[in-house]
Amino acid sequence: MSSDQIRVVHYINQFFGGLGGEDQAGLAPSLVNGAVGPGKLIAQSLGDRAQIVATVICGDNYVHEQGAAALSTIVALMRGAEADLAILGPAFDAGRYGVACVTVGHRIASELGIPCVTALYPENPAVRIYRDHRNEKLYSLPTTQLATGLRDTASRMAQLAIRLATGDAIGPANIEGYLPRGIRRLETAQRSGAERAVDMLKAKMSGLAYFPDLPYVAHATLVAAPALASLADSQVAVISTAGVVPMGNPDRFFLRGNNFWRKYDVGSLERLEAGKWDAVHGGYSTSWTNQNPNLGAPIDAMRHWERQGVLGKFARWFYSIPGVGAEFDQASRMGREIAADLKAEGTHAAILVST
Amino acid sequence: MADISRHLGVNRIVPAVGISYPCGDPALSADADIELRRKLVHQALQSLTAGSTEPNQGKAA
Repeated sequence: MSSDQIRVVHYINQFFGGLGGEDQAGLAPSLVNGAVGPGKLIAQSLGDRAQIVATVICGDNYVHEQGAAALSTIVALMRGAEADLAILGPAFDAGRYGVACVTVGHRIASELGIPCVTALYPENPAVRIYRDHRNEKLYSLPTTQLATGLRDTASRMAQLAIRLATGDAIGPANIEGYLPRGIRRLETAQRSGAERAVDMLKAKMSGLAYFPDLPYVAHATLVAAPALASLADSQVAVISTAGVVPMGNPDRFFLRGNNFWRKYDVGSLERLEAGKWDAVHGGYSTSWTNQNPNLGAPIDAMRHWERQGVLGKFARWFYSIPGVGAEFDQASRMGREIAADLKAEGTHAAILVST
Repeated sequence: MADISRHLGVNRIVPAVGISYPCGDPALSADADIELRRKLVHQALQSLTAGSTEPNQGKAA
């Protein structure tokens, strides 16, 4: 092989690796030189530009049962191939295989810093994980549900792989055809928002395809937690999106679009004193909250009801996130993180103040 | 902002005072303001011990 050829490492499961079916799903990862199984089809499409130098084959169950240890072994094997790019799968609609491709791809992209290409059926549960990772270097192409589309998929994976390895700029998902990851990039439009909105409306009315700048997200139905049996036996916390943070904003929250949260110790406080707390929020006039931070985070009232015995315990930690312009899925993630922390702190319920 | 919470299916909502001062009213005296805040928080605390786990359907509470 010539020295300027792109080196590719390929990840496949035991089935596509020809090592057996479900009975062999517990196989530990192994490294084979050159292309194997679907890798041979991909190699044909890569042509002279790139070569699959090694293939890592691993049992579907092994990855899931051995967890972090399996992943580390796989990453170490793939690292040894000294590749410029990794290809994983295609996994079609296979759930365990798909999750392995996405999880390994995310690790490879993050730790080795090389681009990764996988391919999944859009309904594969791994697509959700792929979106959650939002890894700039990991791309998944859509596939057919069954492996009948292997030849076409192999060709598309090879084309994308070569473009990535040669540093070609990859455009948005709806133009390039890979599965969207929810990554938004700032770009300058040639025409004003008003003009583009009218174009979109006209296209919609004519039944033509149109692409909004911000795709509509269907919200999942919320199921509320069961009621507390007794307030007097419960620990309750305050969460606030009013942007109340210690004076000086030590965690450097932005005025809008925050994608992290923080908790602050209010365990010994009767109230939030003006001058010690700041309101960082780009969506409302914060002057009242600055004069009295309890308007945005009612620490004084919670302490009162704790002292009165109405509430068993007011939680030590107050959770804060200036909630302006947060993306829905980012906010959902932060909600899950805060819920996990509340549970870890033994807190039974929370009051969320929303501005 | 109670309408937004309702629209999202939240089923324990205490409508608060204003967007810029949910838990009180700066136009009131300090004493009246804290009384109002205690009342709102009490209502919120009580709602934790009541209510069904069914999501609301985006209709008025």
